[in-house]
Amino acid sequence: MVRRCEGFSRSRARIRPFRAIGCGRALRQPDARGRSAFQERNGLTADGVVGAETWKALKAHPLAPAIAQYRVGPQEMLADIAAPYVGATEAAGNRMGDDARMREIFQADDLGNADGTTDGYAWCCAFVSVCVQRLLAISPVYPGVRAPRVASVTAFRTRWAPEQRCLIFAPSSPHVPHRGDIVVYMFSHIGIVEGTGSGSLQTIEGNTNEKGSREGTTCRRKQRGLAEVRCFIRLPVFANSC
Amino acid sequence: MGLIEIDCFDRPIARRSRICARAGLGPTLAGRAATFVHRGSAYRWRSIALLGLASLSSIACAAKRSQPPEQAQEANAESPSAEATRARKPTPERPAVPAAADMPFEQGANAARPAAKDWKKELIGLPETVLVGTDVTPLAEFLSSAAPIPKTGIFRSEQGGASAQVRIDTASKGSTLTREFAEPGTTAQIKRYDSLRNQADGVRLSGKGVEVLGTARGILVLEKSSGVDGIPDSLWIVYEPTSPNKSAKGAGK
Repeated sequence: MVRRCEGFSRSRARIRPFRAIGCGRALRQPDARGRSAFQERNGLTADGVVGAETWKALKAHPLAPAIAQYRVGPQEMLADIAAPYVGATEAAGNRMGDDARMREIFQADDLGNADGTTDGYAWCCAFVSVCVQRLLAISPVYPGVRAPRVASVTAFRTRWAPEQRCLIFAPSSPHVPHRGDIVVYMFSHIGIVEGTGSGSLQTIEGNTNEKGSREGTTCRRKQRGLAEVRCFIRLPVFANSC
Repeated sequence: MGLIEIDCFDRPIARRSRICARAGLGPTLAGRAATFVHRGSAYRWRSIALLGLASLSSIACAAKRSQPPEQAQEANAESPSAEATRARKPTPERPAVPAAADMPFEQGANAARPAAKDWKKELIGLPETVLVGTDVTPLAEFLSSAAPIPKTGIFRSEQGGASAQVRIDTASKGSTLTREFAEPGTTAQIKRYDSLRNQADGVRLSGKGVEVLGTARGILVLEKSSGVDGIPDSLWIVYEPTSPNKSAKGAGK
């Protein structure tokens, strides 16, 4: 009995790394929906089988060279998408004002006021949502991932990310954060990792501030220590295309 | 004290007794000790022993003087001179001081005043960092500008993805703190802390599961078990004063 339990935990330990990259279920029970969707978009037979024609289409995708240049993974593109938002600043009281980027951020979630406006709330998670939406819209490697339309950090971390089979890991885990990961802090705040150093991160965050001011008003680059981090979220590149 | 006794041994006995009495030493004992010293070497060992006794006696006198008046009077009951002093100047009885927790805000503040210097030491073991907006800064930056907490007030804080509001009421009986926290699209999570104790000259409020510090900028609140993801137990959070009519942004939107 004891031996059986040990064997069971060993096999679980072997599966864990695959789960970590979102492959666990896909390896055993392939979900062809994402691949079928990609095939359908590219005028191929939507059978979910990655054959020679599907590989050819993948390689011919306009973003394929760009994705190939990323050293650690295609998630890195998320940091590139976030970078142009740096400097986007709200009008007073979390209002979008005249900035087109702010309008885009505040329209990235499903919240709306009775008077028809869609702003007036803490928007760091809406900023991450809009970046992920744009990534999923242009990248072919996340076919099964549903775009987030979430303005709550807690909902993003506890509902959206697990549902999409994202890799969620703590700073103390063996996984190493890298460019393009989403970082969730100990307090209610979220951002995108742009670079990593020894024990520190460079991030791009929405609704943040100059050091020391109470209220976030702008999208900025920030230096963060790992002690402030609750967890990282990594998009599951191979979730439906293993 | 001992030095005074030794210095007076080469003076006349009357003067010796006066000096010893001024030093809180029994004149008889001091005089006898001095006599032994002057009688010769045969008595030297005894004189040394008595000098030791005299020193002990002076220490005991000093200890009596440092006691509260009531206890000191009881201890001096056998001494006729003490009785005479008491007859001339009756010591007024001090009223009993209630604990700070049982007092209204102002009285509690006054009673805590002597210990106010040490209140920072009591923060040892609590987190040493403060969340200001979306930044984490050392607590020490705020301690230098410690200020009394207003008796009533509404304070507000915004993190990157949530807004929170704290209402303090220490003016009425039973001090309370009510915290309201909301992320966009979610219902507000409200928690109330009762029976807060005023400490450290009104700079600190303390209750079960919550600590509050007053600063020039606003208040720092530490919730040890908030039940909310966005309010960790490892950070103080700055709440700044706001007008009573202003509600938390995005709450329950």
